Amino acid sequence: MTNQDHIRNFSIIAHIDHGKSTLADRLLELTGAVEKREMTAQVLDDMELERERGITIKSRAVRLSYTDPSGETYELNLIDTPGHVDFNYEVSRSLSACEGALLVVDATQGIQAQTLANAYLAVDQDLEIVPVINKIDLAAANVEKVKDEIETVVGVDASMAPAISAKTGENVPAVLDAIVRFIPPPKGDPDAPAKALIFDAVYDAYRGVIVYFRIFDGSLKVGDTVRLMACGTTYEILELGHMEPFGLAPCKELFAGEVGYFTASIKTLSDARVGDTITLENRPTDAPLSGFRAALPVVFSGVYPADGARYPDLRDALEKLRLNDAALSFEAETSAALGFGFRCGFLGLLHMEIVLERLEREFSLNLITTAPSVIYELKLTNGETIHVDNPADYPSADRIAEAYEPVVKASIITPAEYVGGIMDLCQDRRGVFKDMKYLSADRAELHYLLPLNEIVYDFFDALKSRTRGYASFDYERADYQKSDLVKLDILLNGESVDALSFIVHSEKAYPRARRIVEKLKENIPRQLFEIPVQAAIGGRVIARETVRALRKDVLAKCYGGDITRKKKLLEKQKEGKKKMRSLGTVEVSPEAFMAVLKLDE
Amino acid sequence: MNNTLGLYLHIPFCLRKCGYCDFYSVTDRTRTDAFVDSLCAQIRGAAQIAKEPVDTVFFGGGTPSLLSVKQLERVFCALTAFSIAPDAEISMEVNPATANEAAFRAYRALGVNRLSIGMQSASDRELKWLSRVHSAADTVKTVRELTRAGFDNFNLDLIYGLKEQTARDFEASVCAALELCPTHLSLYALTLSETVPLYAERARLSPDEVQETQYLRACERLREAGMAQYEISNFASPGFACAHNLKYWTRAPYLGFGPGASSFYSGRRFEIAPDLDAYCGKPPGLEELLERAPALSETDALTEELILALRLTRGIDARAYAGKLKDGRRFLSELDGLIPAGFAAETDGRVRLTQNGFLVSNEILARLLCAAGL
Repeated sequence: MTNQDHIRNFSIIAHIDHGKSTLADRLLELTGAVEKREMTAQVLDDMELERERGITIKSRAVRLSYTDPSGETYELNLIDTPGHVDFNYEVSRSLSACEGALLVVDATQGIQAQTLANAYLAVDQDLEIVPVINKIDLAAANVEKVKDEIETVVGVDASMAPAISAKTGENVPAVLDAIVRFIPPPKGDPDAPAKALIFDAVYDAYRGVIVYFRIFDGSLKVGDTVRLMACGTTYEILELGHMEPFGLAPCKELFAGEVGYFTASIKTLSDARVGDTITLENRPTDAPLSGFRAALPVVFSGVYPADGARYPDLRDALEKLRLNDAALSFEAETSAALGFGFRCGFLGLLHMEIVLERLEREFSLNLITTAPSVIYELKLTNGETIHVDNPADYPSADRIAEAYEPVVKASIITPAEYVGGIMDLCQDRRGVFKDMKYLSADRAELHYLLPLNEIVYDFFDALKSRTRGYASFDYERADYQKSDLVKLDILLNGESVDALSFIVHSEKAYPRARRIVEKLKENIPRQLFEIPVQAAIGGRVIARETVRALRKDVLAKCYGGDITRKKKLLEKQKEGKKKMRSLGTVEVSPEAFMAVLKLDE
Repeated sequence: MNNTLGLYLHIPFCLRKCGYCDFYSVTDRTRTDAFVDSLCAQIRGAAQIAKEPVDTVFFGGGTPSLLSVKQLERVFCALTAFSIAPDAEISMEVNPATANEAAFRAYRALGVNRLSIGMQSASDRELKWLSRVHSAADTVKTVRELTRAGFDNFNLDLIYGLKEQTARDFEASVCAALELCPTHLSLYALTLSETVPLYAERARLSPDEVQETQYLRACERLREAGMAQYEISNFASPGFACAHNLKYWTRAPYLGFGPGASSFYSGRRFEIAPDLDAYCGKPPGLEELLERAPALSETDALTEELILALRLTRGIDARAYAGKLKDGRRFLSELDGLIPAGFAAETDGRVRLTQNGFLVSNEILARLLCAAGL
């Protein structure tokens, strides 16, 4: 048992590419947790996708043992956090398991958008913020300027901030020293009833769910019967211990202030929710930790295999992913255009993007996804109220008395120069301005009420491009508001393509319809016949384009008897055709479907 | 037809590489003797195995007319190892300005009875863009000399879809070609593979709509001139279709000699490595080539049969072909669907593509292959 005075629990907050993972690697190396030669790169991010995109999707934790120059040995628990708005809740839970956070800032770039939102989350959790200035090995590094910025923008003292290069290792030991000096030790009551926070959980094929937790009060040991307070379920702890850099290290008991894991034959992740409070069945704590919230999907999309024969593979892949991602929901659906697939629910757009990318990459699937949708609430003329997230289920206009759509409270933090552009964007997305305040002379925070269906599309991209990536965006679900909604249908060669239908505000219907038919025209290859592309509301066509017929596609030269090359060319063309979806007489590629989703490119 | 054999001889030398051509050739002509040695050895070796009577021989390239008459004599001497039919069609490709009347007389004396002239265009501007070495006047002169030497059976090659070429531009080349009274004309749509220098200019080729007009109008001019179309790109006066090229499209056997040459023999397709050095070192023997080439699968054979038969105006016996497929009905319905749209026509059970169908034949063939389950 480590005395709480010798424990430090901390996270690292950084903008993408500011060196979070590299610093984590150095800390592991310096504390002897990892031999340098064993380190490929960025040990903490263990999913392939994370490694490639340089972002952390699921949080992980690791225990380091650090002996300071005076010979005192400390237990440092580094709790990694995901870094995106879709996972804000997970970030807040990870942070609330800590007493402090390292705020890593690139000495050449200064404070960036993403850093701020998470830094504020940490401030909200009363965490001690320890600034670290990274990348001082680069010629453009300006340590003093960045320190000033941290003080003005984040509002924390940066005078003692270690200036380091995680890449070369220069001055990294100062970070360990700062962790011990500035981050307070945990102050739990070891004798109180056990109270621990689940900040992460992963599914393991052999052991069931592995629950990662932080003990605030009391202790937990093997054989204890624990209660997960929000779920109301009880389990017997089978194994428990610390997270070491290369695996789990079981022990008998963990105490107040410590970070660890347990297994208890928990079958699915939905039984061990992040944010839930663990206590003992026979000696429960009187109140759970605050802040628990069930992660509910807010964005929905139809997901189909590009090759219809791979439907069973898609189902297996989704089932496997759900084992490790309690927020992912899905149910089977059928589309006339796309065949068998699934209606999937996601926490947000990044979550959706990550799930789709993992399906494609880890399971080698080619996917077609329909336009993302939100949940609409409809009061029907017969008095009934229904919820619809799928355009296919949208009733005809004469059956709808009133329509409601979800709105979010959005907060955007931006350098002041982009305020005008952001206001234009929010205006264009039907946003209602709430207020704006200046955080400093050149940084502002705006609040808007925005319809969720206006941000599920490409709001992040639009915001990024208007602010050169400097604005950060965060939102929370607000309520439903009455809205004038219509269902827009897309017709190819006169036939409606169900997978391309979507629900949209009536004011937006025409511009969206125009862009979609234009995009489809660009992306549908010319075929033997002319194809009208139309967008319609009810039976009324509001936009039309024409894909003109193919005029010339011929291998004119067949020379010297080289048949093989011609055959290969045609076979390639034939294979391309097999991937196409036939919609009546029209063939549409998976790419054309995807292009419709990315209207802003 | 299948008990006779065609021979293709690839002569891989050129004065200069044309910017659009991706056939194998080299401009260094110091090794022509070594090449001819290997070519003769390869021919003699193959003749030990392939005993079928030979009824077509085709000298292609490259530029066969860059070989000296002496070198050609040696090749013809080697060819006697095969049993060449007395009435065999013996064709040779000639680029304008690479042969004179004396050379043509010598070719005739050796037994060549058909020439194919790489005219490409009647516009000097277009020829320059194609990086051809000859001018329009050179073509006229070459044709005059070959006629004087006694050749009355010759083909002219033309290319359409060139940079900024209008329908009228190409029509002018077609008319200029017809004035030279060829027995055969080949019209090729310029196709730029990624490996050729002109690939960089692909965006500036005539747009598809223009190429469509170029092709259809040329077909019209040729029909008026009494030249019948017998293949997507090939037209001939009655009785002058190229017997050698027909072997490619009817899946008749042929043997290729020289680096980069293709063969179809004993149910196998194989190619000689496009590498002059290796070829001069040791030309591959037929036995060895056959051993390395896998026999075509049934799917391959059916695919070839379809894509080759539909290049020809005689088309395909649709029902007989469908009978060889697992699900012939889907194929037939796809094929039948092309007829009312004007892409195909049927006569006595044979279905052929029309000129409109030829223009989009890749798309049509890809669709048919899908429907045929191949």
